[in-house]
Amino acid sequence: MGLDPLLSGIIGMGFLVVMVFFGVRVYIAATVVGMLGIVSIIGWDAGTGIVGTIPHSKATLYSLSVLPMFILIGFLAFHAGITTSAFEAAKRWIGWVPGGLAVATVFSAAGFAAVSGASTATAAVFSRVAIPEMLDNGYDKRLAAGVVAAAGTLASLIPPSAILVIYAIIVEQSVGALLLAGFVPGIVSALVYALIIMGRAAANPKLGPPVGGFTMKQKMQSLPGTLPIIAVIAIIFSAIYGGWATPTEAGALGAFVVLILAFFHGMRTKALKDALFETAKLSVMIFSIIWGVLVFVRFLGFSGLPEAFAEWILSLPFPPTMIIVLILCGYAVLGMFMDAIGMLLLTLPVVYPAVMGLGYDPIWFGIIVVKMAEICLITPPIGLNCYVVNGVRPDIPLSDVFRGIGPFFVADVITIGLFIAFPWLITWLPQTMLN
Amino acid sequence: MTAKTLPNGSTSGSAFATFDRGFSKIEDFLNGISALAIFFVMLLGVTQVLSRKLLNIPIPGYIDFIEQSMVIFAFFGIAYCQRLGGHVRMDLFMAKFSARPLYFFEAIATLVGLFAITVLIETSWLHFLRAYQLGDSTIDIGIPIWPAKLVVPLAFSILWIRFALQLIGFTRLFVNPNAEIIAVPVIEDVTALARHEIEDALGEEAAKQAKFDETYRKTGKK
Repeated sequence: MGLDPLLSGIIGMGFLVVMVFFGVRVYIAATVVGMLGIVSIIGWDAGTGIVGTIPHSKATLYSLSVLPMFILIGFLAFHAGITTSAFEAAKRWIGWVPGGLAVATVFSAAGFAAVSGASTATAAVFSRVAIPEMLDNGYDKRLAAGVVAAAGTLASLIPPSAILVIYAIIVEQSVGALLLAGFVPGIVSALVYALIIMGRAAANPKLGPPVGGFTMKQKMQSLPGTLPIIAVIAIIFSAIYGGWATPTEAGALGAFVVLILAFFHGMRTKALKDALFETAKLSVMIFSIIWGVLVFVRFLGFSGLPEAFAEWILSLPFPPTMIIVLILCGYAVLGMFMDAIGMLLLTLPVVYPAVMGLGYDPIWFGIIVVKMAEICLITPPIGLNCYVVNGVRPDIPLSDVFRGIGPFFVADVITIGLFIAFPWLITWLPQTMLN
Repeated sequence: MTAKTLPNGSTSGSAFATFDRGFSKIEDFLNGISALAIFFVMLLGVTQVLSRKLLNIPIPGYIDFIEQSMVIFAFFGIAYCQRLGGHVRMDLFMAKFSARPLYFFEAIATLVGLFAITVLIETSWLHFLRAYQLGDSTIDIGIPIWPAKLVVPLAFSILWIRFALQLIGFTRLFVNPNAEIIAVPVIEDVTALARHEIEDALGEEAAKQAKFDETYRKTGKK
């Protein structure tokens, strides 16, 4: 009855784009289009009946319960005083290389990312911890600001990462595999950042002089402060790898450890209440968009649009690598206008089957698109991380932050290129550890 | 992009503003329950791991408990989040509009939400009713499922009232764009977003002190 399913799929997609453009919240736009689409194919009563079951059945899957745990860890992380000790340790151990403090910022941000999944929060925290010290040591302020804004983006790759969990749920892949898979790419991104910094600082020592002269004793003394980071990494990794706890249980344990540390570090009950309220708000936002998009996905299933789109992509006379690069360019443009979660959820239902049709690995693609979404956090016109740095350090003009980002943007493009050329960088760890 | 509203709403004494403030308290309360549920899930997870690993006594029906309580943090805060404009949307395009067209499209977008939620209240209620009549229960320890399913239409009903308030709020502003902003979220520009991120990460003090480079945005370049 009613419309041709494929036609209604195409109309629905167009309708969705228009609604999102005119400011309808994504969870509502996806629900309305999904609902009307299903109704157009199977009729009002059957259609709305299906839609009515989706919010409850999709939002109460056990695997999703890890999300509030990871989000909570992130909100508590700042209060645990981990950043200062991580930066101090990194400075003492690797400050002696060219651009040493900037390199230390990259690695300590990567360490902080292991207890936080939020890019902007990481950028804010390091603006306060690392920038003053770099400026005191005569570092170029563009380099200092750029490295902080860029290093923040490591948070969404290195576990715990909420956005990788969301990807796993939407494309029905293992949450554990995605979380493990983010680790090596996070480290590779950090290494490429570090190499670029060292190269530039070696060529022009005024940019960032080395900071050395720490004794072995001083180096060793800096290590205990990083124990919380190591504890959270150990809990999450060994739980997923050893299978002794589910991701939710590991997340709960991680949150609990960070909470205890935060109390030790002088966190007040008011701060805990604020963190919990923010966690609740962010959680309901993520759950709403997940069930909303799953209504839309159900409609796409009825319409056959993803299969048709995949067939069309496969019929194109281009090599798969070129198609992937084109898709990534599409994400780069889209990311200028939307935040990462909305962008991934709206596009994956159609793009994902096509990419799988090209023969790419689902885990690999997840890491690549999340990395793309992160690049959008440091590029104009929005570049939220750059604004965060400028907000915490008003003495560094925004134009300097954006110029400072330049080399790191190049680094990210190189990193993406590496992942495309050597996909095993991403797939090796989850395959080895989970098989 | 997301947008958020003035945290405490309007101080105006009109009946509409008073109702909005009172209703906000209910939403705050529900979000607080959701926050507590998250805390509870954390404690339950820690207890489960320790008790299973150290004492070899897993909590009976742990997964059932978690799945049934998930409905709390998946839905209780939904109207709170809507009030604060926390649900994901794209407002780069909307931010270009001047007051009246902006309020017009905001009102339309709210109407779309009202429609979706109206249908969802009815159909999720039927979903609950089936579970209630059939006596569905969880697999492991047989907790009845209907209370969790009942939460969905109830939370949507609260959200419905929030949408209705926002529809009135936007229509009012469309008619008189200079009126005081009541019961609706305002679009935040990127600096306001950055300020919120700083507040979440570093606390209120840092957010208050945050200053942004205005010249860059006005001229496009410095």
